[in-house]
Amino acid sequence: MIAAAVLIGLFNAAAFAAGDPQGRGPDLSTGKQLFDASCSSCHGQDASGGLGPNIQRIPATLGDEATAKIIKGGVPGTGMPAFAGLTDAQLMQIVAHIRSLGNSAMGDVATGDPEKGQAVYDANGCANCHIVNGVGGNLGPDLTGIGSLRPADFIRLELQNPGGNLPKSPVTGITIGKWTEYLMFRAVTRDGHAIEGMRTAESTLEIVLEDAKGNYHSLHKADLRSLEKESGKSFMPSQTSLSDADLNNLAAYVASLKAAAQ
Amino acid sequence: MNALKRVLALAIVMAAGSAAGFAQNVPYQRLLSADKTPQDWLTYGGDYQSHRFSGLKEINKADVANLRPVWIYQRSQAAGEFIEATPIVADGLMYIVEPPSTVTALDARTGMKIWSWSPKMAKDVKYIGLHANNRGVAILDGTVYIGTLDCHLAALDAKTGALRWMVEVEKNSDNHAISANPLAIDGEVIIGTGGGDRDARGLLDAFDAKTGKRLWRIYTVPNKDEPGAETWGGAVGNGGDVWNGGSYDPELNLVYYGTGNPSPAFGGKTRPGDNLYTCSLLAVDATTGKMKWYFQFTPHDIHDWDSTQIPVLFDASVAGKPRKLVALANRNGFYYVLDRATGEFVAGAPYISQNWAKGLDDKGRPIKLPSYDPAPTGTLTNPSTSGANNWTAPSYDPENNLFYVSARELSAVFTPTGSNFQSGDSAYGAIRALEATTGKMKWQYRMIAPAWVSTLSTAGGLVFSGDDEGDFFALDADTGKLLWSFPMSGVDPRDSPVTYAVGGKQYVVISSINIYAAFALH
Repeated sequence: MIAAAVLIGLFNAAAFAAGDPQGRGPDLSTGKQLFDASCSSCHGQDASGGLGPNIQRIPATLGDEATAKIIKGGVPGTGMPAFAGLTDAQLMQIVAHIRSLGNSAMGDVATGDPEKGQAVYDANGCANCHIVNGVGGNLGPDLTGIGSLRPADFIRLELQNPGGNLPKSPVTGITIGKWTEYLMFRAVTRDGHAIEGMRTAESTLEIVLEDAKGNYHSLHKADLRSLEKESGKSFMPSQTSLSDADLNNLAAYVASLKAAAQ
Repeated sequence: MNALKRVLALAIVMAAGSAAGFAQNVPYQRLLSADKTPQDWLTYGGDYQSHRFSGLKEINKADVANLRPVWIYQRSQAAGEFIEATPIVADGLMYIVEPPSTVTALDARTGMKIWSWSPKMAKDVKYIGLHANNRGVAILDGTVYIGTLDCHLAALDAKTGALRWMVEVEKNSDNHAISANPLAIDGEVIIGTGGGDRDARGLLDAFDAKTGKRLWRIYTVPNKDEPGAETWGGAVGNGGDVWNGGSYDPELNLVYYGTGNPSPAFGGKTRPGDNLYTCSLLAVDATTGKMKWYFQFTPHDIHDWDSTQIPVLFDASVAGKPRKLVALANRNGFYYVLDRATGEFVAGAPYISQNWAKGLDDKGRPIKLPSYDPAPTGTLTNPSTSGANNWTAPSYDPENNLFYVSARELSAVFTPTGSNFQSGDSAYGAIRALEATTGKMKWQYRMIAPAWVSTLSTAGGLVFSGDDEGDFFALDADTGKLLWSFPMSGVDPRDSPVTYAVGGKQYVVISSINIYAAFALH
């Protein structure tokens, strides 16, 4: 089976290099048009991420066929819809365009040792708030598979400035800039009771906050004396006490957490 | 059969129909005077003028707090895109469309399914620039009309859902697709196509309502040798697709349709000039298909600001003179009032905090700021590509001359090749009540996010709409005060509430993601 997989891999690479049966390479300008129309509103014009994750290196990591399959079928349970109406040729044009974008925003700048990084992760209590492969606390985001979405140098920045670049929630469809996740709020009730927490849900009239202990507070906005956003804040402490090497190793470890096989 | 027997037979058939409660015969005369039968909701906009205003007032300011859900219809197919269709209600039957192109008739009193029809479509239908859903059907005589995603127009028996005829409007292989509602007038059915973002040439077609024979077609962008070609700098015009619904003035015999953006949407270097007749309102003779006039809102659009918002027809006094007017809250952030007989600009004003134009000149042409052309490094512009308003319909209240629109305050960073939306946390939405003849804001109801829900106003002094988190609500039409709301909890619901009555009882119905829900007084 392994040999077969390698063969298939080689075959795909060869097919890509050869372009289509007419001997032309994939049409990058059409790929760009398609990408701009269907992908850029979530993934950004340079595929470096927006509502959706940075996908610049997805073709290089997963291969062209697998990337095309994801575009065609979508990713169930996320904001990534299925683009079933695209032809195989159009899919390959999009994939070629993504490849051509390179890694403009995020390269593999931070280099570290994932194994040493795991020790840093364990020693610093990261698992108190983060789940990896089902194990850990649940206040912060589940980091299982985070390495498939975010590169090491992005993670390193997050470690230093946790509230500085909060992700936006995925949406189905094409258009709106959706909510910032893990955004902190401070609510004060009419009787003067203050609640600080991460927004879990919000509507025009209601809001749910999760406090530092993980308790939910379901609040009717009209009953509050005040409600303020605390942009830039996070329950996650900034890892300023770590050495440069430890930071790099920790980032390398987190970036190594690719999606587990289901 | 002699004449007497024929009359008797007809009477028996009619009696049987009314016993079942579903007569399902909506001649043109009924559509003309839709405002006289508020128990029905006969056209996309409630009437040919697209007022989305109902004379029903059992549900009103005093009792709306007692509004409760009475039935929910769950769509037949769970998968697929969200429901967006405006229900059509006639004689106790409600016609909805389940994405992408399934027409379903429900008992409007109970939500029970009577029949359902789905077109056979290829798996690889193309609909780039559109969504795989539908805005609703049209009804005329005993027939219901739907534009299908794969760009056909189908005529169904209103009583049974049986297919009467189906014609291809344009080739789906050329990127033409339909999500718009048809417009049925006297003996003809009018519809446009989408796909302009992939170089489909914008068009509007009329078909014989009985046979499906094409009566006329008008293209919205010129060929090289046609008038308007000089506004494309030598390029062949593309885009300008008519992907949303229109309105009709029976006296002037004109249909009014907005056109989409030029293609390619961004940059615009390859198409120097105004790019007629994109981002415009067209007044088209309903019998001949000839353009009577046009008004271009955004010359040389480079922000994807289609002008396919619903044109609202109303009569009002301007500077002491009675005028026949058409108003449109444009995706570009300005509200426009035009003379609907001539296309003359009457008034205009921004209805969101737009930042790309200094204002409008005395002909209604925008005075663009340098920031209109995005820098390669990006320029923050309000509105975003999704616009100050998009496809959702406004409502016009003839009792107080107010125009209610769901306004979107959402910016995007534009570059010459595309755009990225601002975070939802720096955006918001609002239901805004504008003086219809001036665009001056009378009140607003703020929502935490820009919404995708049409407005509905009623003689009960209410404005119904919804927000992006799924709250369906009723506002005081005179003040914008929140009087009632019901959480339906969905992300990005894209709805168009309507109201109707069965057996003297008023209902308000709205879709949300995968359901239709009807409400009545408890």
